[in-house]
Amino acid sequence: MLNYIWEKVSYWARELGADDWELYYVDSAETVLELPSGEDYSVQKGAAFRCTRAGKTGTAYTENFNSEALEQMVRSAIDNSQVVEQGVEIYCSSQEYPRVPQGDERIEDIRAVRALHTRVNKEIAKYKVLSQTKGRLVANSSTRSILNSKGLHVSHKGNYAFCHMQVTAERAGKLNTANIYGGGSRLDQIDPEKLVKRGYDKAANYFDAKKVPSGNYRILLPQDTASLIIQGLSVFFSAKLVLNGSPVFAGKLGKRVASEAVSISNDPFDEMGVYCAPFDSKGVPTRLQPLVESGILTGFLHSAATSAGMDVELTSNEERFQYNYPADIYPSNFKLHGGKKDFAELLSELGDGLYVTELSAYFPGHGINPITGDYSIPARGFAIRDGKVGSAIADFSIAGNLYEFLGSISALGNDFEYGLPSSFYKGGPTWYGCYGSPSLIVNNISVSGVSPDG
Amino acid sequence: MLSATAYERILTAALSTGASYAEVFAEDTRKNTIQLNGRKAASPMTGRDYGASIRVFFGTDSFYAYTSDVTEDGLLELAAKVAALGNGSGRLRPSLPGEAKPAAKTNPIGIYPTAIISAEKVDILRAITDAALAYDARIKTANINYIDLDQDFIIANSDGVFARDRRVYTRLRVNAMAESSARTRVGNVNRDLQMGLERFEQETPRQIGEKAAASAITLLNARPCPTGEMTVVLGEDGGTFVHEACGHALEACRVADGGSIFSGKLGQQVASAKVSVWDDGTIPSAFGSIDIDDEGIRPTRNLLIENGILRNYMVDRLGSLKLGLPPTGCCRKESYRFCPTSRMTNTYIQPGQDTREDIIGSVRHGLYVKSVGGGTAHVNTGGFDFVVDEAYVVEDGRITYPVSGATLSGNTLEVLHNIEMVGRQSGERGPVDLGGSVCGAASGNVPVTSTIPMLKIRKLSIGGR
Repeated sequence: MLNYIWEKVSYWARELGADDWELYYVDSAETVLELPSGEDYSVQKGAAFRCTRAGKTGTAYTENFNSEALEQMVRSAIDNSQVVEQGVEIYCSSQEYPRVPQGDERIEDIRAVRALHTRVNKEIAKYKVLSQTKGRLVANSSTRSILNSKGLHVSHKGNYAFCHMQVTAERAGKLNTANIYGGGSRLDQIDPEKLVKRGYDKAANYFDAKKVPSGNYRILLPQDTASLIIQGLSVFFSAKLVLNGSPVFAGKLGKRVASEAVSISNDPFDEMGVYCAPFDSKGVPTRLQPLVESGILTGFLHSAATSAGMDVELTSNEERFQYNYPADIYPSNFKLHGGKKDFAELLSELGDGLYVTELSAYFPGHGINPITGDYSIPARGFAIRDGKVGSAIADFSIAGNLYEFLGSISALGNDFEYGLPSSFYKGGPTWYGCYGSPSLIVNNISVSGVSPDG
Repeated sequence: MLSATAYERILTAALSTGASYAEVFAEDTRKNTIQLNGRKAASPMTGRDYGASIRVFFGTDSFYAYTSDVTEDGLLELAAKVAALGNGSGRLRPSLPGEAKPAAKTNPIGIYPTAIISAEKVDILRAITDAALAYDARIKTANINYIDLDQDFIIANSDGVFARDRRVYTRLRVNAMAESSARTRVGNVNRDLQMGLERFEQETPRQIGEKAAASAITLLNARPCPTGEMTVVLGEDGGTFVHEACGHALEACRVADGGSIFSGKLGQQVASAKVSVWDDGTIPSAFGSIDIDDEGIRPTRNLLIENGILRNYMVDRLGSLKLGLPPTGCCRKESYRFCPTSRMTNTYIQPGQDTREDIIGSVRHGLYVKSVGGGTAHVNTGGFDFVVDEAYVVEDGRITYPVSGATLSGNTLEVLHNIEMVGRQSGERGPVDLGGSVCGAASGNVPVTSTIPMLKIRKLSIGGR
């Protein structure tokens, strides 16, 4: 199929006067096992075509591979190239591709995935109050291939699996929920016992929540909740946002943007994450990218257009959420590096403050201003007094600016994990990338609850 | 598209292990996406989504599969795979009419966007940017996301439904960025319509650009929003409230398993007697309207809450089996890639009798929320929240200064009872705003509208700095 498509689009590209062209082809299969029950299957094949003509670049895609549809895809791409002012060069590879961890074949084995599904359900059943818990276990295998007129022909199969649960605890007819996620490039990264217990520890203890007086607090974020904030932060590392006028990191390259404890990188080789690949959607070889080192901003995520715009070396961050989405700048596995403290040490160091375990809005456009980095996010959690977890707290919001947030991180745990990418919950925004963090202590966070006198 | 007899063979294969219902959904969708950063067009993309899904029921167990291989062989293989997931006693033999019946159109389209090349669309979008930049020297740039979508689809099912329809949408997101004294503020216009490019005759590019710019300039002068619990007046652009605060919790898929705060409450008082809520997919040209839903059923005018009493839910075919209520024509999905379920269409609170002056005048200290952004809902606990785009402090019955940076949150049952005043229908607009947005939930992003008259809510939680 791939060779047939390549021959057809190459024929029409030449006929219609394209100078260079590129085919991005995906062949994927996915199994979704609902919790507690239900199965969905899918098989998807699709192609995106990009070409340059007279120095301008246009893109189109199709899932229909008949001759007329492929011709139309090429014609549309050429039409689209006429409306842009600048083109993007089709990538010419002269570099070696890095080795990435081999995809876990058990993710393609329906029996292994069903066995894991059974274990998750059994684990939920151990806790009688969790009978309303729902969720899903997803196993995905995708092979993507990139061919271009400059001789590139690369292919890579990536497998990932994840489990997302809305763990729901019931008491006297009242319900409380906790969003729990586990996943990665290997099936054994989903630990049913750990995930369900984490959900139980949150949801079952949210009852009888008290209100919080408004004020400035030191807060402790567990790693899964902190990773949501890190996802919100990640967009500000896009060079495109800087070029489009976002003030968050403008003019700050080489300068301090975070407390000294903070280092951030994009790691396409970390199999704890779901997106491991030897090349991005243009075929550029991936590499480990330091972005913040000991609090100093050392780099941005780039596309070909932004690397040209900033006159820096091309990096491998041009990705498509799928073939039917435009290529944009996204990280693969975006991580705030862990520290040395265990959770008990973090609690002790916090002393008095808030343990914020649930955030209900955490991505740009919802809770986070995508231009300025200002955020206001409804939250839940627990009060901390004398280093001990106390009563549940609810009906409050945390607010501030993500740039200031980075500068206010005072301690990092040794418990790094990737959290729930917003694109992995049903109906979530379709963004590429996964995001991880250790548990964090952050100082001076503005909390809106009830007035201090009441 | 395949023939009726091919669909019959595919449905027969899907029913081969005794399923009680089977359905095939096939679509051929054209889509264009254009981003404008300032005046520069970036990554315009034209595409064709082409695929099909098969869903079967064994009683109230539902199984779903989809593929981009829309050949008869590909779909027969998929049907066999789905059929193998269950084992039932059904003996259905599907029989379809010879041709797919076109749905009766209630949403006519003027200028089909697929007939217009990208260059002409870019010219229209540049006029929006130009208007925003010309509005005020403090507007530094504007960014635009535009999508048009033309979906041609067929539904065939074991009840003999064989229907075809076409849906056309244009979606527009504009943000204008204002800068002054090292402050940056963004004004948004998000307006999605079930219209073609004639939309720009009704609301011109200049009007759109100026509206986004005006909002950004207002926010430039905004102070931080006061926080805590206070009286809130929601303006007519606050429709997200009805969507998040009660819409999701009234969807049968949430109600059926006891997972909604409204489960088991039909006939009970769930809101202030001033509140009546409708979901109506029949309103011509509203963004959430449909000629048929995604299981081939005509939409209805569905009275959900009448004077505070819960009267009905939004019910799809599977929800109907679970709840024993008739389907209300609201089973929806983004595309063949999503399993359909009960979703909102055009959801609105019925206008009341209170005047704007009386509502604002009755507030001693509170917040007037002019427009809001997106939100979330937790239907089993009743918690909801949404983002404030533009708001003003109200003091002694008068709107005073603008504020920004807030999130509103509350609990559905408490807040619905706290609605003290319901405004009259606006002179310019009917009970439903034709423009809307997409709602992201279990079956993907589906077009909806959410409309409210001006509301006074005695107490809501306001979060901010």
